[in-house]
Amino acid sequence: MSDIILGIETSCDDTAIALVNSNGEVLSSVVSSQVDIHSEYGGIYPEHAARAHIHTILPTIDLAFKKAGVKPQNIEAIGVTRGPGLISSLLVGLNTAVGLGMGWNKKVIGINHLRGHLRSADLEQQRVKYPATILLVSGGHTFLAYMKDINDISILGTTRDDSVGETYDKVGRMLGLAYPGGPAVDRLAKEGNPNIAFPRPLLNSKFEFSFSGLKSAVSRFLAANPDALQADVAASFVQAVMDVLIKKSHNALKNYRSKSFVIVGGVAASPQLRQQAEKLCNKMKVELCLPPLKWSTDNAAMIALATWDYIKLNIHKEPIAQLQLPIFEF
Amino acid sequence: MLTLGISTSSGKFAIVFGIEKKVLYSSDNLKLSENKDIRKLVETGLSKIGKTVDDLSSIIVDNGPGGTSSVRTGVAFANSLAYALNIGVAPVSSLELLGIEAFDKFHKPVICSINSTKGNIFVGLFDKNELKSAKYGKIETILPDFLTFSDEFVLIGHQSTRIMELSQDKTYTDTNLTFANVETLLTKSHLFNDKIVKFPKYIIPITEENYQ
Ligand SMILES: Nc1ncnc2c1ncn2[C@@H]1O[C@H](COP(=O)(O)OP(=O)(O)OP(=O)(O)O)[C@@H](O)[C@H]1O
Ligand SMILES: [Mg+2]
Repeated sequence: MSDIILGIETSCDDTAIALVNSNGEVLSSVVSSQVDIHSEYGGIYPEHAARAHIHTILPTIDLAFKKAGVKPQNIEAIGVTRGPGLISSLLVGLNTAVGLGMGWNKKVIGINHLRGHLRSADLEQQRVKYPATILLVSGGHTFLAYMKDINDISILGTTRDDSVGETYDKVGRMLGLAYPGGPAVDRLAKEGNPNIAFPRPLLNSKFEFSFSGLKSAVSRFLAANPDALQADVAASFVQAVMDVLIKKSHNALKNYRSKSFVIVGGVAASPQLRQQAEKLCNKMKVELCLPPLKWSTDNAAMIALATWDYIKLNIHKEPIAQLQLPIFEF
Repeated sequence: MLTLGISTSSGKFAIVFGIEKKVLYSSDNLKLSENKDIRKLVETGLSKIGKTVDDLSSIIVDNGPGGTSSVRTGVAFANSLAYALNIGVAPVSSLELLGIEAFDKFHKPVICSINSTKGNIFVGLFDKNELKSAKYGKIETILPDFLTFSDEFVLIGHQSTRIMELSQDKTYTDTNLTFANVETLLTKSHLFNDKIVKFPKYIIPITEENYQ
């Protein structure tokens, strides 16, 4: 058995390819970002994303093999994101994977993108100790989960409306910042004071989230106070988000014995979140596991690492698109 | 010298296998065309003719226009299979396929049309194995220019009836066909040989952005 997986990720707007071995060592990881294409529209237009994928996918695959110094014959299998995601984007990755698998005579496994995010914290280095509490905060998802081990995940709570990343992006747009809004809002927030009292939605619900009320509150505030200091608006918004995320994470850690607290997904790149999570973990005497920044947002290394779980547990999933896919499913 | 032809522009997936211009297997004939799993189609075809994927020496793929997502599916598969096997792949536009098929039957200039979004149409004027003109937009705007080419036309594609209504002073032969036969990819493969590419070149689907 070979020790290398080819990971393919095209669920959204990045064409990502990686070669990863069973220890989580990343032999190569190439992400062709479409930010330039989508920033013009302030968001992702699915048809543009799919067209860009078909332009970039083969050169990106070729580059990943060259960078790793690996021959296709030497891989064990291909893991490709089958969902959740945009159908038109998923189809490019899936059908490319199927063609490669057929030509190279390699098994092709359809991977749950969220399983990829979960496993991102173990890339390059084994970090997560089980049982673990997971906070997944990405562009499309927001939830707290408890993992007894790789094979046993329960969802504690999820968002009733918008995801955190989406909320960041929308507030970014309201503030006239570049897409994606997340990093830009964080940067601006550092220059301001959190002196505006935005709501902390569902603060008293143990694990459930809601962000649409916060988003509307920012919008109403900006309409009523056009001269407000933008940095203060950003800082107050970020503080409201942090209060909610940290409070609910605290609830989880109090109720579920955990060795690790893991934060994954694009918003895990937020320095404010990293800082406040560290405080929480020190208080709770739990080890904080954060993937390096580059593994927080979409990449294929996390998909390849998740593929190893499927292989080790002997779980085969066909490379067929599934637009909705819960985290506890493989 | 096994060649694989793939056509997905009609929204239904069809493949053909052949050697030179001889068809060995066509999924259309076997009524498997509703199948959207391209791998299964190809595997079924290969096993029917007792060949393996390693016997393939080239791929010809219909790169649209047509169902945007299904064209992309066929093209993504064709590109990656060709890349993996280190063989060439040739694109044929779905309009050209229509044109070839209609001209073959009637030997007259052909107007081919494929519907796009928002009432826009991909229209092609085809004569003697050659796409003379390709336009995208409203049929009413495009048609007058095309009609100066001849007094008699063969019609194939979505807009055939509409074209006859719009300009009644020309003579038309209606093929009553909207999509081409996948076998044309193989039986006319000599027309596509000069379009074969190998990685780092690959096939891009035809859309309103790159159609002219
Ligand atoms: N520093 C940051 N602070 C806050 N948010 C950030 C930061 N960096 C990135 N983000 C946000 O992360 C999100 C993207 O994350 P990710 O790539 O994990 O999401 P996705 O893959 O689009 O969604 P999903 O994985 O749920 O399908 C964007 O909304 C972006 O604004
Ligand atoms: Mg993601």
